[in-house]
Amino acid sequence: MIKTEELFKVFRTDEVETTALNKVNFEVKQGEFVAVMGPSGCGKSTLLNIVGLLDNPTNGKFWFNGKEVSNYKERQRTDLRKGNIGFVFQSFNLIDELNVYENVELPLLYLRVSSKDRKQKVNNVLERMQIAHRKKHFPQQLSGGQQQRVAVARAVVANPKLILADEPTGNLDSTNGEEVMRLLEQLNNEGTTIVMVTHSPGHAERAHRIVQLFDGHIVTENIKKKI
Amino acid sequence: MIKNYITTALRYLSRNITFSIINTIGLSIGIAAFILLFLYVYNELTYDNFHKNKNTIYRLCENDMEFTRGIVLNKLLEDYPEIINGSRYLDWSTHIITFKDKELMQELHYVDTGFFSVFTFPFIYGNPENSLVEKNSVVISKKIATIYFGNENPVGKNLDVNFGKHSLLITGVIDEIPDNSSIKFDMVVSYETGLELDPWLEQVHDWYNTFSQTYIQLSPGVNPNEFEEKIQKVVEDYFLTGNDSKPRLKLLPLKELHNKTADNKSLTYILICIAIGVLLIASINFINLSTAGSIKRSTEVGLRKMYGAHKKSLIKQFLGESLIISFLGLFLSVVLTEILLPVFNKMFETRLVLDYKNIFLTFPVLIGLWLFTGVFSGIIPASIITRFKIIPSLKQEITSGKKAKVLRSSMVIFQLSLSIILIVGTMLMKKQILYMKHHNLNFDKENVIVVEPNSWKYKDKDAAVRKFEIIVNELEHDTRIKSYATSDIVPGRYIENYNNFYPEHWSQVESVKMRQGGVSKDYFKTYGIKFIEGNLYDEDYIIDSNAIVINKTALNKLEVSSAVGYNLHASSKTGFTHNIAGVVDDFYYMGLHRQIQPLLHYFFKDNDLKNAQYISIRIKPGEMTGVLNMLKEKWTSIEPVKELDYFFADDEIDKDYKQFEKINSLVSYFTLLAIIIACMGFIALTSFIGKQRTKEIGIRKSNGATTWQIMFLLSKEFTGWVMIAYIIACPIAWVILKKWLQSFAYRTTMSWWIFVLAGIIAYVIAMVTVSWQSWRAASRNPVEALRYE
Repeated sequence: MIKTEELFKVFRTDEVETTALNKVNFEVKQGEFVAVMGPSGCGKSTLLNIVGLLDNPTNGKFWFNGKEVSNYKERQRTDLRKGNIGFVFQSFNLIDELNVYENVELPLLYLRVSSKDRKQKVNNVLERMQIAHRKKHFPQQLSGGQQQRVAVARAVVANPKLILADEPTGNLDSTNGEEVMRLLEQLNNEGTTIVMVTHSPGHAERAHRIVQLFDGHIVTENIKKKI
Repeated sequence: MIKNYITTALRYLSRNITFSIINTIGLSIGIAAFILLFLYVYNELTYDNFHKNKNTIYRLCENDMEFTRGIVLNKLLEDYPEIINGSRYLDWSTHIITFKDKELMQELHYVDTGFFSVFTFPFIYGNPENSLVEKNSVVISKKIATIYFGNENPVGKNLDVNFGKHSLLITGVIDEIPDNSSIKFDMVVSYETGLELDPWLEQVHDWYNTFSQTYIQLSPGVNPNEFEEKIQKVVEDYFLTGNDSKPRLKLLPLKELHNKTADNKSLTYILICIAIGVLLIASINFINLSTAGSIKRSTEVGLRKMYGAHKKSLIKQFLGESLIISFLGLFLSVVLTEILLPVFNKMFETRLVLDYKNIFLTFPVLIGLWLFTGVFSGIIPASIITRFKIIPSLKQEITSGKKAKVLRSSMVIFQLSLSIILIVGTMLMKKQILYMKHHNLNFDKENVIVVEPNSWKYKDKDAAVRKFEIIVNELEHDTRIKSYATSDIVPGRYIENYNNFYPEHWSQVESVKMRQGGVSKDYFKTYGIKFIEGNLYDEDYIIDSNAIVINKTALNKLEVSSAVGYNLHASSKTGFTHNIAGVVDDFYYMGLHRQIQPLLHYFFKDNDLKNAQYISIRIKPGEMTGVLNMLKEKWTSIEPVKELDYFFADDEIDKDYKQFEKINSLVSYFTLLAIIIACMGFIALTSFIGKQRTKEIGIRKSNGATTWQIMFLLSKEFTGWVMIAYIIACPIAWVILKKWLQSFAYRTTMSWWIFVLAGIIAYVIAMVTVSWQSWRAASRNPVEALRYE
């Protein structure tokens, strides 16, 4: 599903040049659950952003669903992202002005899903995430765990093939963290490919494969179990 | 999707209530100010627009004078088929008009029979085409009809003029004339009728005197410039003025008449600029607050982009939000305008209304204002917000970019510059008015009371004169009175009566056009007007019946250094001979915005109480009240029915400045408004800046910075902005105001201190405004500030 070849990413400011990814060859197959680990600043999030079509690499090649997309323009990336990729972040990233229902509905609006279908899909996913009773609430009225469940609901509502999770348990206590991990596993079991960046070895252990990054390089790949 | 946008917008606005209130109220004040000024300016710019033939009507002018020779119209109508029709217009005559027991003084206007063909006045009764054809017919206004006849149709009824000496048959009634009409009247009769009522009108019908305004209606398609060239032949052939001083006949389009003739024409443009300025200041607040607050929206933008929003759809969303705010602003502004209009109308003597029935004006303007403020204020923040990159947005790593900062600074500098220009303008206007009011007028206006005997109000003029003589006799013997004089002009009321005067061989100049008026001998003594040549007040000096006194400007025009003893002929080289008995120093007989013209005073035989309009009385200092009481008592004893009409000479010239004071207060109010709106923006902006620099403030304070030092730090930016704005504003204000001052014949100087003071005022206002928010930010506990991080 995802394949990178000699992926290279450099961040430049007026005076400093930082290499975030250096010749990274990375592959994720359909239905896989991959955990990416490494110390802060090793390039985990950068890799996730490129894989999530939020950013372009400086150099190297990147295939998404068999298409070479490393040179895609923003508009093309946007169109490709729509409906194909769901995102979960450490800081939840919910829109404060929208309630739970409206936050989850957002990806469907940009997919131009009809109002009736939207209603059905959002209610279904809220039920699945066990947050339906809170659908009229605003993010600030929810606990961290609930907020992350909403974020997961939003990530999956459009039924994407790939979910990218950037430290999804980073801001949660162990119980809520566990709950989110359980949800991700469940989604993976249902066929969704998941790439998760994490600092927690325990949570990484639950993936099929752990990729270790250090200073922009992949240093080890540890295959835990077959799909 | 639209529902989602609206929901987000409304919730964002309610969650950021200070921001929303400042934006909405600021915008509503700005829009209301714009609407008020728009109504005022629109009224000014659409003067005389209601005439059907407005595009082909021209006023004839001799050079730039409003009056023309009385018979030029007839000649033009005879010789030039390009003219469809025309009419003269004269508004100098007042008469006692009676119907049954109603006896009132009314002003009669004299026009030609083509008047109602040329101009389109709304007739309620009668036929415009032939209403003035018959001699002794009169067309009256609805107001007059109501006064004399109530709701009855008065057509066919007769009005008595001057106690039954004449009778006028009402042939038409016209509805209320629009406020912005250059020509306004209550009663019009033809010149032919006028000749019977006012025999002096005969003088109008010659090639010398200029009493009437003349209007012509050209055939469609006639080029006015070419036609103007053509009619100079009439001047050459008929005007008896001698080669050098022959005027040029000019065509002034009716559409431009008000703007060209009004003293306040530059005001219209100044007001347009202020209106746009106030609106821009309010819109800039919106832009600045939205861009400063845009960081709060970064997560939302990042998310929307991540889930497939393109730039276009985000721009639509944020533009939509600003359109919602500007719609609220517009709604409030309409309410505000309705509240303010009566106050405005009272203050500036206007009758402006926001006419909702006028769907072709009011609604397009309101919708235009809504779209302009919404789009102008929304497009910049929208384009900044939509440029946010997804990743930094989601990580909340968006900071105000360099461009946004430069933009924000430029906007504030623009607001400050505009405010400084307005402050300088207000102060300079005030200075000019004070200059005019306190300038030495070269005559003594203090302690002079002017009585208006108004002999024309009396049926028996001789009996009236006998009554006035009793008053005059009293003046002769009252020791509190220094001197008195009768005249048909007084300072502030020099009517526009001109004639050409031809010197005999003592001057190279062919003729000089002079403004003339009749006075009694002691006129100059009463007003303290100084003689520079000749002295009428030598004890043994006897004034000849043909003696005249001219002013210094007239002497200069005659290009001689001495004129006493020489003769001037009126109207032509062989006209009536006047002998110059004295030359007085130039004095300001009208406001200082008007150029002093060559003046000629001829003398009344004795006091000529039959024709004198005024009796000017110089009273010893401190005796004013006593003399006034005496005059009133005496008047009541001889004339119990009519009240004594009088005024103080020192008020009269000041009246000429009323319009400038009106303008000054208009500009002052709107300057204040502009400053208030700008200050609202500064307060909100400082609050944003304070919040953005919370971490910096915390670190500085934890390292020993005092509250004052932090306040200084936060205010430093504004100081810089004020300084840049000052540097930009000064030259612009200088150029604009220099031009404005040039419209005054006598003007004050552009003092440097006005600019310094304006700078200080702008700085103090800006600092006071921002210091409150700076203090709030600076006085916070550093731990609180760092915890924020």
